[in-house]
Amino acid sequence: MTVLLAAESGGSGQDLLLPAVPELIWGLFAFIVLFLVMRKLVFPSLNTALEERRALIEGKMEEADAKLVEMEEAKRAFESSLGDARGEAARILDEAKSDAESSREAILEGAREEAQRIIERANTDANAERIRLLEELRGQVGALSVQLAERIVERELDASTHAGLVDEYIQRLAAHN
Amino acid sequence: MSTGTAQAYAQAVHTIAAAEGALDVVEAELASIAEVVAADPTILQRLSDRQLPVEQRIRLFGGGVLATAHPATRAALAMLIGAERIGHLRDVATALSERSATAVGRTYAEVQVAQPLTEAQTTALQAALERATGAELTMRVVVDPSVVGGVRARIGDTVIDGSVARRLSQLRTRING
Repeated sequence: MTVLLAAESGGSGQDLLLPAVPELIWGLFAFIVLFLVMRKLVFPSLNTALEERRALIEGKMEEADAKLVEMEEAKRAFESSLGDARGEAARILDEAKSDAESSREAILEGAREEAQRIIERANTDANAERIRLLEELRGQVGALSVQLAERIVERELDASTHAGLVDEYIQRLAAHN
Repeated sequence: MSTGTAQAYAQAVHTIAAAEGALDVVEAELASIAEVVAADPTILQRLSDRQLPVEQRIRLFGGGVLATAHPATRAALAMLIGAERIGHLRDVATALSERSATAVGRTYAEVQVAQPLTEAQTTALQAALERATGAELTMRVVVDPSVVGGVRARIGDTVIDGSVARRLSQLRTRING
C-alpha cells in the first residue's frame, strides 16, 4: 500500500523499495528487543527442548543400536544354535545309521551263524544216520554172510570132512602137550 | 536150574541107582534120554505141560524110550516130571555122570560132535584129552548137530572148543565188528 502510495505520489523507484529511516530504526529496535526477549525467554527453553529431543533421539538411537547389537548377537546365537542343532541332527542321523548298520550286521551275523549251526547239525545228523545205516547194513550183510557160510559148511561137510576135523582136533590137543 | 539144585537131584538119583546096583545103566539111560529130549522140543513141551496130570506125562515115556529102561531110570524121570524139573534133565544127567566119575576117582568129560565117532576116534580123543588135562577121564560122546563139525569138549569148568560152530561164531563177531 505504501509502495503504491509512493508511486502515486511521484517519487523515484529506489524510494519506493527502501523504507524510511525511522521506520528502519524502529524496525531494528523492535527486532533487537524481540531477539533479546526470545534469547532470554524462548531460546533457552527451545535449546533445552532441542537438547532433550537430541538426547532422546540419541538415547533411542543408542537403544536401537543396542537392540541391533542384541539382535545381531541373538541372530548369531540362533545361527550358532541352528548350526549346533544341524550338527546334532546330523550326528544323531549318523549315529542312527551306524546303529542300524551295526544292528543289520549283527542280525546278518546271527543269521549266518544260525544257518551255519543248522547246516552243521544237519551234516552231523546225516553223518550219524549214514554211519548207522552202514552199521546196520554191515550187520545185515554179516549175518547173511554167516548164514550163507553155515549153509555152505553144513552142505560141504561129509563124513570124511567130519573125520578130518576130529583128527585135527586130536592133533591140536597133542601139539599143546 | 542152579548147579546146586541139579546136584541135589543127581545125588538123589545116584543114591537110588547105587542102591539098585545099576548106576552105570541108569547114568547111560538118563544121558540118552536127555539127548532125545534135548533134540526134540515138542517132547519137552509135552512133558512140561502142567495141564496134563503127572501120571499121563510119565506114560508118554512109557510106550517108547522107557519101555526097556531100568526101573530106577523110570523112577528118576517120574521124580523130575513130578517136581516139574524135567526141563533140566540134561543138567541132572550131567551132574549124575560127574558124580559117578568122581566116585571112582575119575573126571567126567562130555564131548559134543556133529556126527558119531568111530571107536578109534573115540579112543584117540580120550587119550588126547587125558594128556591135555592130566586126569583120567570118563568120557561121554554126545551127538549135537549144532556143533556143525569138529569137537567141543567140556571137562568140569573147562571147555576146549574146536567146533565149526565156534569158528562161525568168531566169523560173525569179526564181521559185525
